Amino acid sequence: MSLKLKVKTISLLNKKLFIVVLIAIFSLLTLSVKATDEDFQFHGFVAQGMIDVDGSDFVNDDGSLSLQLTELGINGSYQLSANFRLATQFVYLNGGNRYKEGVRVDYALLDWSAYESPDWQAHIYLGRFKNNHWLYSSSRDVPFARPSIILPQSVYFDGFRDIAVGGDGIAIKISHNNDDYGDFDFNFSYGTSQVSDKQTDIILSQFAQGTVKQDSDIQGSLYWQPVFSSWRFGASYLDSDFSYHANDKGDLFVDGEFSFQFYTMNALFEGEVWEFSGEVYQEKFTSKGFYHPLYSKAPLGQGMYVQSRFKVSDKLILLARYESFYSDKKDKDGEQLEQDTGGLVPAYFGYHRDATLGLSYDISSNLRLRLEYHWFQGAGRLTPVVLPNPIANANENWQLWAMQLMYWF
Amino acid sequence: MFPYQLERIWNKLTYSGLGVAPIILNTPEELLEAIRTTPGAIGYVEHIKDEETVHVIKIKG
Repeated sequence: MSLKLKVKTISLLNKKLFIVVLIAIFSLLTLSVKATDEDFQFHGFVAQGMIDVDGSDFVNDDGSLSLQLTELGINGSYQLSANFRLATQFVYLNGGNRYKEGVRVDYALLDWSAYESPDWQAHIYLGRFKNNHWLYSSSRDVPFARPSIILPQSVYFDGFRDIAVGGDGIAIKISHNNDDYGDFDFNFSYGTSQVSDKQTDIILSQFAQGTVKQDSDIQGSLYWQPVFSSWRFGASYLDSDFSYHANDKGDLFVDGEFSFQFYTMNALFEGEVWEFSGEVYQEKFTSKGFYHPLYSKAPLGQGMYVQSRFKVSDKLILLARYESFYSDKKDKDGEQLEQDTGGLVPAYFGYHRDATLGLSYDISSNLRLRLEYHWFQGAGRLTPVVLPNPIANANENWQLWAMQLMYWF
Repeated sequence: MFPYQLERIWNKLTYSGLGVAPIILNTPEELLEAIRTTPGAIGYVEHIKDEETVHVIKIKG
């Protein structure tokens, strides 16, 4: 078995320094498999913040300063043999109205290193896996591994978090390193998520008395980094089906089917002090039934965000981001939505825009403080999604500031 | 590749279940000792004095 080691001082390195690589003279020896300290690893994180929203029910209903910005995680990884590994992570999340509060099994999987050569690696993950298809999907709950406290909501929609974060099933990751064309990563996953009652309330509304089931979820993505390039490019595809089963004992709604298709393309540039990233995407949200048996609609939503980070020093990073999304490309300003609902749902529920400024400061190598401010326009990414709440969200423009202290080991 | 990119890759692996990050040791001496006692191990340090018990490859960045 081989084992990679490094010293903490690597964080102090820059490209001008010499890096010395040591290879043990014993490298040709093989070690019989036995449990050692190196076979078992555990890590975790603790993050607590405060968040204040003015003009929407994004976090809480009364708009007061909130401490509902807690994220805890602990994970373990155990190397069973050269090719098999067990890994699991538990998280506790409290984000107020953003998602269900509580403890979750974030992932619990068997990682099979199915093929390995200098140019090709293939891993197969069985069990509960994380979504690894979008730029920040696998680290959306890991405070120090994502770019901001609140992520761009049109892609990383908190109201859809528990379904989009991963699934129970199978995931495959194939990596190819090519001297001429660069590095390629291909990901595929098939698996479903359980939909909790709280999640049903968040997506549909508390008036929906029935149950929602995710029937299937297929995702694929491809990433490419050209040789010696600071750029990385990616594309992803998602196809997911849900069914709504009305409650026989008096439900406002009838049986329905929802289907969600989501395509993204992304680019990431990581330079010495500047970093740029962005994702563009299109979604197709098909609804059949639910409101009444003959109801059918399939709007195309589109959006994008661009993000820049600037490293002022080793400790201080500044962030600027702009995001824009509309849920129907034939109704970008939401006027049709307002007309169709007889004025019940204001036009600003048809879109979502967010301008963000933030900073993060590393107090030490595993303690970070992050601050950010968001200016939002529109209520297109506030919950419930299917039956919006214009009373709680009576403003087109709303704002948010947040501060979070995070520690990891 | 910059150090922050390595940190990001390892953080992503470690906290998403995709893989295992390298073990981090506190001092170059601890690292050398771990290399010496772990078959197949590879380690990265900034500087090294005369070491005859391990193979050393210099990389000029």
